[in-house]
Amino acid sequence: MNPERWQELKRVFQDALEVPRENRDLYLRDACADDELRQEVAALLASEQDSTDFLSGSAVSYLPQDAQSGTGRRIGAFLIVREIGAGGMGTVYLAERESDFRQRVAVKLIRADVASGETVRRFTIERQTLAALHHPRIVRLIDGGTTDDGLPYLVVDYVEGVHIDKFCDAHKLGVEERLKLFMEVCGAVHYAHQSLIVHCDLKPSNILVTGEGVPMLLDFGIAKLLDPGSMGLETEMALTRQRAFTPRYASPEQLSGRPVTTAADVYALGVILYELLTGLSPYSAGDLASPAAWIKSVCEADAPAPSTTIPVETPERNSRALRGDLDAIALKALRKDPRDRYGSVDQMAEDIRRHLSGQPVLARKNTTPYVIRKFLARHKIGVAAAAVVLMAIGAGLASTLWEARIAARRFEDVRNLAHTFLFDIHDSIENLPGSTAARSLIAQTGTSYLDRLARDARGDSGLQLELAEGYLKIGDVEGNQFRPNLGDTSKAVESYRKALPIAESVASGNRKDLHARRVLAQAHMDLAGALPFTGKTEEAFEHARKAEQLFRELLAPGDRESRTDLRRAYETEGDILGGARDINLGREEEARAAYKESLLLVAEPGAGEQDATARISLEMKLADMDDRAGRAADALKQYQDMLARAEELARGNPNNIRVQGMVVVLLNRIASAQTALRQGPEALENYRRAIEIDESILAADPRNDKARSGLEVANKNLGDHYYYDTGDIPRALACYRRVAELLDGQARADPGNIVARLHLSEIRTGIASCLVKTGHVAEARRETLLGLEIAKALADRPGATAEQVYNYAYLAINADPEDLRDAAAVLPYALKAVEMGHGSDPFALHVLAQTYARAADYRKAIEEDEKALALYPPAEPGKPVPNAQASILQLLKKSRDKLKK
Amino acid sequence: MTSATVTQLLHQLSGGNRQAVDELTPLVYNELKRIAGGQLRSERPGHTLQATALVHEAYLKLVDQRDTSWQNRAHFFGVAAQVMRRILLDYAKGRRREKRGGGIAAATLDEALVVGDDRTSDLIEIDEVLTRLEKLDERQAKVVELRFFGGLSVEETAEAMGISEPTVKREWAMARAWLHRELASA
Repeated sequence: MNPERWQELKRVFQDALEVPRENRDLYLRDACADDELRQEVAALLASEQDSTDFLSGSAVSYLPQDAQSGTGRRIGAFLIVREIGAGGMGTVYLAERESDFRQRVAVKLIRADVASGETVRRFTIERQTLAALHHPRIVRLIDGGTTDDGLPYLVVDYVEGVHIDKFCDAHKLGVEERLKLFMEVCGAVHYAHQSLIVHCDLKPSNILVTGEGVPMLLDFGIAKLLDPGSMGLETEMALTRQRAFTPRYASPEQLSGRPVTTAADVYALGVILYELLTGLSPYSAGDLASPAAWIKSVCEADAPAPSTTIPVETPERNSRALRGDLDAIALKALRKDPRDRYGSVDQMAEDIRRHLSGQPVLARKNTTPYVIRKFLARHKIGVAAAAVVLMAIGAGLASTLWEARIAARRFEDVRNLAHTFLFDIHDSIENLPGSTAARSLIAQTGTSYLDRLARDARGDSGLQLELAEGYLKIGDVEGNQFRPNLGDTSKAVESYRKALPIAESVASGNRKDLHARRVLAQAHMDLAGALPFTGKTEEAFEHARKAEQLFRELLAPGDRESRTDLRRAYETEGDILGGARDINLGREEEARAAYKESLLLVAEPGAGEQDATARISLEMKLADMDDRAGRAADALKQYQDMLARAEELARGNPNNIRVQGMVVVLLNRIASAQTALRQGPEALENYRRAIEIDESILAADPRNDKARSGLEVANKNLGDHYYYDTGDIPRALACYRRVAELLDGQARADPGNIVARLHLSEIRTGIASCLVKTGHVAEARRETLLGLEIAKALADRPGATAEQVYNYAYLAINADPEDLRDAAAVLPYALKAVEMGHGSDPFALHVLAQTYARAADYRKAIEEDEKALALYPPAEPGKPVPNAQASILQLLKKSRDKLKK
Repeated sequence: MTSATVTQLLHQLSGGNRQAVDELTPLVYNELKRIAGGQLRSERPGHTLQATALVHEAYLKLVDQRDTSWQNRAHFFGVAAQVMRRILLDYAKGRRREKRGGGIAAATLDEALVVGDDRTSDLIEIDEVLTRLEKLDERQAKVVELRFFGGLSVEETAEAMGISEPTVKREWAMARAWLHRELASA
């Protein structure tokens, strides 16, 4: 029919409809041009008559009722959409909530034909189990109940996803991504375990991963309840026969019908991990002929390491990636004996996490080389830098400031590193016995590594410099710059000496190589710092001069670092010349000049916190020199001036612990000077302030060594003040005990820490003195002997420093109760102390005097005391005599009196 | 899927962008499917599904109600009717295949749509004939689509198509007659 025809048809038809029925025929004859048209219209009209019902309803009414069982049914508040799976126990349907079709769920309906008592029980358990589990990775139970026909069902979230193994393959996930996914699953399983539920049927098809990459754990159908009572179920309901598991993932104990624990899930996870990593089952190499053979394989044959069996390697997933850690982790989970596996799924996940962050995994034997290798690899900063960090392991943390000295830069850096890294490396060295041992071990390793490197480095100046720097860093590790440990300083010097010629040859080979000159200068600096402790103070000074020269040449306008380097060089010179307490050349004037040069290089005040603190610390050294020379009043004035500035600095930098620490240091200095000048109450007040600040710092940051050592100093000084100046013995005792507490903790944490032991020895004897005064003689004796034991051990060590020898002599000759003072035993030490102090240490001289006095050799006693006195400036008339001089005068008087007799 | 999207598409459609229909269709489809299932609250056989209500409800859900343009409503209904036709036919064809033992029903519409006697084949035939009518008279076929598949009233159809009610009636009458005759003679 063509369009025109149609239109005509239409027109006639529609007009005809308007005509009353009886007239239509007539109309048609009139309207139609031809017979054919007339016939068609007539037919249509007739049809129109007949079709009153036609299309009267809506099209939807033509659809049939669906007669399939289940589908279309309403279960609870849900309407079933279609079947999505069928298992042994029941059928799973996709359904939608009636009232809100956006919510899609999975309804698991028990199969009518297998609905025995057993399956019903299982269903109930599954429902109860799921009801108890609320975890983002475990499918959520929404509802449950029984249908009108009495069939139990449960309703869970509908998870649209893919089996985890297929997901990994489809998305071509690499090892790391697979591990991360796996870890999420572990989290869910672990959660279930914590709710005392063992899944018992973990397998890839029970772990779906959604399109967004979210893994979900399903099907707790045969889960075992470890504590059915807590679920409100009676014990009989707990199924004891667990044979309805998937053999491929079943643990040996499941297969042999032995009791099942959470370890079974660990095992299954191990199989899953193995498969995710290699694509193979752990036992695919074994005999798979029959179930019996399979069971035998699982129960007896050891699975081969994943890295050895991976058949298809990709750039991301290859045997190299699996070798080592992952091999160990997977195999540990697959151990036959449940006790040999990971104790919990959580541990397994943790080990994987450790692997991913480069830390050592538990599954591997914790051999030291492995640990170190891991650590170095992880930080990727090269052996040289690593050595610096590793120093933090050891007693380097113990920045015991017996005299609150400001730390040298390197030490500060190391300490900062320590705080940053300690946490990280704590795990690494956990199993290493004592941090000092660890330190020396690492230093050893480092040194031998460098020695080997030295052989290969010839000709390669870049590598040689790296080598030189490495030796310098190792030297730092071996000899704590701040308070050298026994024997280690010489090792440090050794390392530094190795660095020097290397740096020299590189620097002289190329005058333009600034980096080489810097390294050379640093080598000189390091030697200058360490040599005094081995008694080679003159040589040390030479190196300091050379360092100064080199740094001056490297000085570039506007370059902060080169300025700082030169500044430190001058400071070191000053230290050696006369500033350092134990070891100096006694050239006070030159020392001052050096410090003043150093001060010139500090930027103007207001230039920043760093510079302000550098200035203060230099000024403190100058003031310290005054103090030691007996000019306590001068020193005090200077300290007070510095304190004002330091406090302002602290106010401007409230979170800067270093600045706070500086305030404390100054407070201690001031208090100590005031004590010497007999300004008791003021001293007390300042000690209290210092203690207050430090206690709050320590409370906020228990690892803060500066605060802790500050507390040690302050409490000791306060204790001394109470003991010597106010005679308040109980308070003195309290202070000393606090010190002992702090030191003890330190010493126990690091048995190799010489300095802590040194101070502990002193404190013990101090406590003993108090105890004697309060009448607890027996206890006092014990404390003293303990203290002296420690002190003597330190003094006896080869390479003991002057201070350590002096310490023993001093404590021994001043021991309480008095009968412990053995002059004969002490004498050699006292003599040695004087010798080591080059005859210019008034304290050592006085101790010698005391020893002689005790031995009743008063002539010699007077001799030594006079020498000591001569080193102090004359006492100012009218002003109280400083403590140190007072006690000398006291002894002198006594000796002279005795001599007269 | 937000009402904003559907509204936008309808705007486009009334602005002359025929392609908007392609985008609208799946959105409407989903909504109708959902509603269709929701309409049935009991398993009583013979329960008739009110297509009109279906479309209306879909309209309420999909179109931004602040948009009171009659044109959009009309267009929506036009699209919805089309979609309904598709949905129903797909289902019907799926069922037919199954009946003939030719594989699993590709049920695009949820089996939740439960209705009366089995007249699926009829529906398919009606659709086929309607397709022939479309070639002869597009407007007339559209009326059928809206009224029969979309379940719209004469008034609503008139509104949706932008023609008068009497015209709708005339077209409807002829369409029915013709379709009936075609089916009877087949």
